[in-house]
Amino acid sequence: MPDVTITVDGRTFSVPAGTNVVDAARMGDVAIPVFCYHPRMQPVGMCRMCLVQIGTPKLDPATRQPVRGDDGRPVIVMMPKLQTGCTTPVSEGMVINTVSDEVKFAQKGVLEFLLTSHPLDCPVCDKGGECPLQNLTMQWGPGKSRFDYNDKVHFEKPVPLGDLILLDRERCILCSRCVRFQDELAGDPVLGFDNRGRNWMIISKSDPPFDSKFSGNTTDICPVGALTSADFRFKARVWEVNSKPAVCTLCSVGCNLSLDMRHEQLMRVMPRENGAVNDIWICDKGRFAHRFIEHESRLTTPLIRKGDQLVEATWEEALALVAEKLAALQSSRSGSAIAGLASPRLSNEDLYAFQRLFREQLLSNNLDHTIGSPADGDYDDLGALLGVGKGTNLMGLGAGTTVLLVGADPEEEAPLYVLRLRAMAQRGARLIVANLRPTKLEQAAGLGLRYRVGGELAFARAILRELLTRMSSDRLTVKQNGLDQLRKQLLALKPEELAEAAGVDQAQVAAVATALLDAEHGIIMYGSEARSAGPALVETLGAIAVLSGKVGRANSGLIPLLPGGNQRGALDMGVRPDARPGYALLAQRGLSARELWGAVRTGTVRAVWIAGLDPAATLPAAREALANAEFLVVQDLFLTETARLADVVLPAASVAERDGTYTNAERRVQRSRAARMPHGQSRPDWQIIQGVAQLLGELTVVPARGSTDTAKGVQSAKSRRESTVAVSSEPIRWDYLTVGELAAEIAERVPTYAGVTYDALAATGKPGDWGRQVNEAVFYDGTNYENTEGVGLALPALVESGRATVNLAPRPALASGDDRPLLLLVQPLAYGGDPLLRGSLLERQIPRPYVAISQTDAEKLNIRSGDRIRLDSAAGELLSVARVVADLPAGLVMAPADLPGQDLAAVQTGTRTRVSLVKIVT
Amino acid sequence: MLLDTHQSEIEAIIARYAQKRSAVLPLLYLAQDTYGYLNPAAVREVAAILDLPATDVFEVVGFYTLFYDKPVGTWMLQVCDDLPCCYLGAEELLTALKRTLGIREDQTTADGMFTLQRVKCLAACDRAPVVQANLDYLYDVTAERADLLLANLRARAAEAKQRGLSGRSAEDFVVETDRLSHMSRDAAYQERSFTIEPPPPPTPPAELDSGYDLPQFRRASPL
Amino acid sequence: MALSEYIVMRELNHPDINQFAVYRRLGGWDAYATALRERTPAAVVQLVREAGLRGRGGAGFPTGVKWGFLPKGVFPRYLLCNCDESEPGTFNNHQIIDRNPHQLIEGVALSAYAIESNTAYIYMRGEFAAAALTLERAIAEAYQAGFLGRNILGTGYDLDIYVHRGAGAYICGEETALMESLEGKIGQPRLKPPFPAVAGLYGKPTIINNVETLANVPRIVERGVAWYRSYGTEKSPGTKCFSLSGHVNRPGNYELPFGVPLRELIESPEYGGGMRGGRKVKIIIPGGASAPWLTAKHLDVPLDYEGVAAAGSMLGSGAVIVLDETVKAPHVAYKMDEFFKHESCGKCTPCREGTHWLVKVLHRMADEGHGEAGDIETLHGIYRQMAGNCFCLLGESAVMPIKSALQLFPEEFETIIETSSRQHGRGKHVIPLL
Ligand SMILES: Cc1cc2nc3c(=O)[nH]c(=O)nc-3n(C[C@H](O)[C@H](O)[C@H](O)COP(=O)(O)O)c2cc1C
Ligand code: SF4
Ligand code: FES
Repeated sequence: MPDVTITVDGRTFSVPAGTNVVDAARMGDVAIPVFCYHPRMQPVGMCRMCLVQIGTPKLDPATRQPVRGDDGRPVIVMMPKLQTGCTTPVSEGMVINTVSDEVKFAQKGVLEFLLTSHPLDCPVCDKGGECPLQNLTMQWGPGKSRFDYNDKVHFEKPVPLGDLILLDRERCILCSRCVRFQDELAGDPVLGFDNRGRNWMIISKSDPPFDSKFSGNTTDICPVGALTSADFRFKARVWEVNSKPAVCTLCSVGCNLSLDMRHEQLMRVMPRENGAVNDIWICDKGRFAHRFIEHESRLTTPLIRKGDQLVEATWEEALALVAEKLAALQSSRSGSAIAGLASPRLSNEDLYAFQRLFREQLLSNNLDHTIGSPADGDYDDLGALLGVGKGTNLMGLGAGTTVLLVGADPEEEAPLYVLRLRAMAQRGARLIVANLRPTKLEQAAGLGLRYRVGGELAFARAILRELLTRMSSDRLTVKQNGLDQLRKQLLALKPEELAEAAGVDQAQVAAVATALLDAEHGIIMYGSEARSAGPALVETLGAIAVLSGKVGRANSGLIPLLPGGNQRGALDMGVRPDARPGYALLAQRGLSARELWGAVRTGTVRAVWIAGLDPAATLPAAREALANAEFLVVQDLFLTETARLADVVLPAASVAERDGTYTNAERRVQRSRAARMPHGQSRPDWQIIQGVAQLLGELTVVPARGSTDTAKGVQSAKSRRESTVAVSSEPIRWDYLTVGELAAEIAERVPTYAGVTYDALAATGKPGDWGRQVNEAVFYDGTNYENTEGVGLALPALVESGRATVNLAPRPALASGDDRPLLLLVQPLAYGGDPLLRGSLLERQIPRPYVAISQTDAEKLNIRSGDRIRLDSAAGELLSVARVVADLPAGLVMAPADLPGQDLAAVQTGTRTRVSLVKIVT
Repeated sequence: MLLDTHQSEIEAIIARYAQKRSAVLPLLYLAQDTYGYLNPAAVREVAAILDLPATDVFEVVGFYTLFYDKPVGTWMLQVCDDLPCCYLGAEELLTALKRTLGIREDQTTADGMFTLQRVKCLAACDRAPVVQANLDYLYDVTAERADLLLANLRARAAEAKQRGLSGRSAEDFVVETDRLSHMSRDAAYQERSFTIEPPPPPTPPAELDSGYDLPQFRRASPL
Repeated sequence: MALSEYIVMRELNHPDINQFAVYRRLGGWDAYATALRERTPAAVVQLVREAGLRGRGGAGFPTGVKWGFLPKGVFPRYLLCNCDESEPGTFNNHQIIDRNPHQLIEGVALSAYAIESNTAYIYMRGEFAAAALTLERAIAEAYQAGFLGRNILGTGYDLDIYVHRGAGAYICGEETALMESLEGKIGQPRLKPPFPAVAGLYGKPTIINNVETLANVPRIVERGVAWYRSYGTEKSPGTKCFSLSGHVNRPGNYELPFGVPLRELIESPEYGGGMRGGRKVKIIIPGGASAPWLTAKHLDVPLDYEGVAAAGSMLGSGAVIVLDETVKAPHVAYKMDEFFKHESCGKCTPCREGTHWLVKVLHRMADEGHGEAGDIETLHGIYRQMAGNCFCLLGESAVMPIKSALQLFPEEFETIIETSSRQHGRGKHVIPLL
């Protein structure tokens, strides 16, 4: 946009053309007060708070040139009426007056009007202290109101608009920010207005009311205390709280949070602005779920098994026991008898330390970050290889970008992507949503496609084939092999047969290819549904990105939505049996989680260390194996099902109680800070790991680096002081004083993490780089989105190094010999069985176990919602309750993942399971 | 269900517009006539027919005054109290109606026959005072003719029930001193003879309140 | 001086004109048929522009000029006929429909042809249920006669006209609120620009005109510019159906050429027939509720846009409310602002809160007789805080009654304050705090 020159209150400066007067004045440090205007939404000009005087140069009608006065300056024609700054775009030579008597009279007038229906109950209002109405009244309002207090409207004090949000109708100033947020940004048009005139009031008639994953944001943008959160209500005054910067680990978006603490207590969670991640929003899960931090069932001390009991122990006892046991096993049976699982929610530092402990000290590659359920997909390496390039910023993308979303339901898997993708689409990006079933984001998509059940690979191949026919070698910017094989195999397929198999129109396939080829930037996102189709699909999607030239640079590439807030970090850090940090494949791989349970049962693996995962809760095989394992260490926040089986339970500090870095879906590394002291005696995971490692170092004869010799000469804990311990010539370093030292080591040792220093993470960029880094009085007045901790650092995709090679050779589709009629898909739910929902208001939203079945199949099987049903698969059977979903395609049944009380593992044969279904008649 | 009983009518209505949503008002009228008032289920039904979020349709019901979200009487009596009706006898008429019916504005008689409402200008100021009964126009309704009017309407209760509240077959009537005469819509135009006596100069009636400002008449919160 | 030939209220010449056959016999629909066959749309626009037809909906904007604002080559376009008629004192639109419906429909059809639109909606206020039925029947007759539908008269032109009923909201007469309402939303005005001619109904180019405006079009096309301009004044050509109401002997609609003095409308035995009981004129509201008031000294003001404007008011919709000396100015202002308060959509602060506050104070003063020192300044303050600051003209209109009353009859407010006994407290609308 070209710049135009404007004059605001006598000062002349340039702003981009098309900016509205409020934003433009702001650029020159002039604040025009607003209520209804919000920089993230279309201006509506309702509240009339931003009235200013505006004039434009008088133009000569013949020449269209400004007429000049005697002083040689352009003659300015002032508009007869005051104008709303929020709805008026600036134009060249515009003169704006924000301080004249007329303007002041109007602003005072509007404020006085607003206060006529406002109860002025600031002393008992949660918004008090960060309330735009308060602040603007101080600065622009009249000293007092002439309105008779007795004439005010009185309503019943707050009424719930749903489980999470309360509405105080007396306080509402009818700016419609909340309604517009839900309509425009969230795409959940569940708020509206009842009545009219002064009786106008917010209502929500969705079922359940205020049915949106983003409802909490309305309390932030509400310029008064009309919308308050049930979670924060009457908890604290906002000036008492201390905002601590954190990162949300509940999904792969990695939203920036402020944990608002009063002393050691979490009062509320607020979004912290980061244009590259969450802008100024967070989802309700991020906002409301963090109550687990203070849950009364948190572990406070280490526990050691004494017979049937777990009894409290000191850290010294517990760590010594763990070290002793592991050292003994390691020396008697080798490291391969020990396995470790670490949660994909732990920080990079924890994960790095965990794999170091296993690889370097226990000499075991039996490492993983999943629970080994049949439904766990393959390791998503392609996402790192082709992952969006360094410098990607979705906030800056609009026209010229194509996003292809395949087999994902961001609303449930990574909610904030709904807002980000919708906003991109509104800025002109082409959003293509392809799924088996309808999802929320489909409504925002320019093109919504539904492939048939089992047709996704054909769909992706159809696109790829189309790209091959339009092949141009200059698009192939990355090192690859297998292209000839790919070409041979795919061109042999008939496009119409592929389209038919996909159940998608050939023209639409071509349209997707065109949209990708024509776009300057192309992003392919995929989620749980796509990953469940097996690696062939993901690889085809990767090939699509490669062949359309949308890899290896900023704003292009793959974004996989992985479960767990830091699964990318776990993969990067090599918490897996087959690769070291940085995707360095090992010659000799260890056991994966899926292989682990059998190995435990047979005694090949004797000891298991589980950090932050709870396999016993959902996986009978794990439960059975662990119950009989020789030695089980569990490190967690809670006494989980798995912890109950443990020999030693180690209490871990929660994300709010420790520093750490996390890597999100776009491979942006971000730092989260401790907001409070660890709960009870709990310790950060890395410290626990280091504690054991240090003891092990004292206990074992440490082999020289890289040697695979088994250690000898293990001493008992009691006698270890007297014993001679062989010290390696190059001692393994286990003396990190802070997590920062670990982070520095990661930056030094893990390829692609080079340069990820705390300094780099703390950068907030220049103003304008990415939204705003400081609290903006005018727009967000009151609500503090300030980000002082930094916006993090995006890692390059591996192909950007130029060293990685992409293998394009297609692999065969998974064949299933099973001819059961229905396909069972597991659906991750935002409010599913996540144990971290405990203690939060969201707990109530966890559904009871059910299996969703299509209308068509339900009719065929004479099933109605609520009927008891049985699923049968090659693996076993599952009893559940049917929920008939009208727009689910026939042939598909869906069960929420991880719901307590629904033993999905009993039927699962893999990421997808063929099942048959019968109604149980009693 | 509306779709079962009025499918072809609904389809014809929707076909008039480039966007389905435009059919909201006509369908709400239809639902109101079918169910007697717009209960939440009826509103949701309309939302479902038009694929709209329920909130959007509730919003519409709340905004427009001719949609009733509470049960109303067989006859919805709407008395214009605006200028000029106000100065030509509307207040006296309202007082008379309230006295006879024993109710206040926005109330319904115990027998469910009449609901009384004050409304704003009905655009028939030349025939003040003007009343609408289920959107039938009733002209020249001076206070003395209130009882005549009520008797006539009462006698036609069955007809009212059948025709519904939303004016799907609305008609015009002139209330004369001794009878209600029906104005035939295709009859030739007749110059009006000015015979109605001027009402007495307005005296503030005993109980004068606008009805809009009293908290008890404010629409109760739907929440 | 009654017109010998009416342009719009032709039932006065031909009482049966509401019959389709009669309308046809009188040459009805011929102008349309001829235009379709022989005139280009642009030629019809030009004709209307030359005739100087001005919008009767309130602003008096030249209709032909408005039609010229449509962006070239953008289709579909919509024509909307505004029959929301809800402002106190206006009541000619539905009488035109009752008495001369076919002329309106022909006018809609001709205008749709002129702006190259294939769909027209007639938006009626919800209360006009009976008139809507009349109109629907007349439209059906036009379809039957082949004047509407597909390939009309073999010319290839398609046109559908639909009646759409609102459901009770004055604001829906505002053109953009009407479009919102027609789109199935709550009737709140839209931000302008974009103007309807560029992005109106469904975001498409849209022309919106009043019933009376469009009812003039067939006569202009049929009889020509010179004939039309032989009525009225240079700047306000043609005739206007004045809606006369209030304390006159003969309230009703009277079609008169523009420029007739106010006195003639009120006093002529053919029209108003003078004031009831021979009382004196006190307040004249010449253009619907939103017009500033005139008084008896303005009786010689000519009834055209320029004349009324020169007198400090506006002709608006041509609804003339005449009140006699039995009324009190504060009470008139109260009733009027109560109307605006009731109809305020709630979107913008000054209108929503300002009308409420005005009514609170006026109700206490005019209805309950309790004035307080400072009330007059407060009232001045409130309307000044509204004036010029509202989102749409409804709020701006609400300023007029109170502003006029305070300007013209300040002593009546003062009297209330002086005679009010302080012991009465704050009126009976005190709401207990807890
Ligand atoms: C609050 C408000 C109410 C209005 N009501 C009506 C109305 O009932 N009928 C009407 O024709 N115009 C009404 N108008 C004017 C319309 O917005 C629009 O200007 C008019 O329909 C244009 O038609 P015309 O050019 O034929 O006058 C209203 C305007 C406002 C601001
Ligand atoms: S002035 Fe404001 S509140 Fe009033 S009707 Fe217009 S937009 Fe609505
Ligand atoms: S009108 Fe501009 S901020 Fe509300």
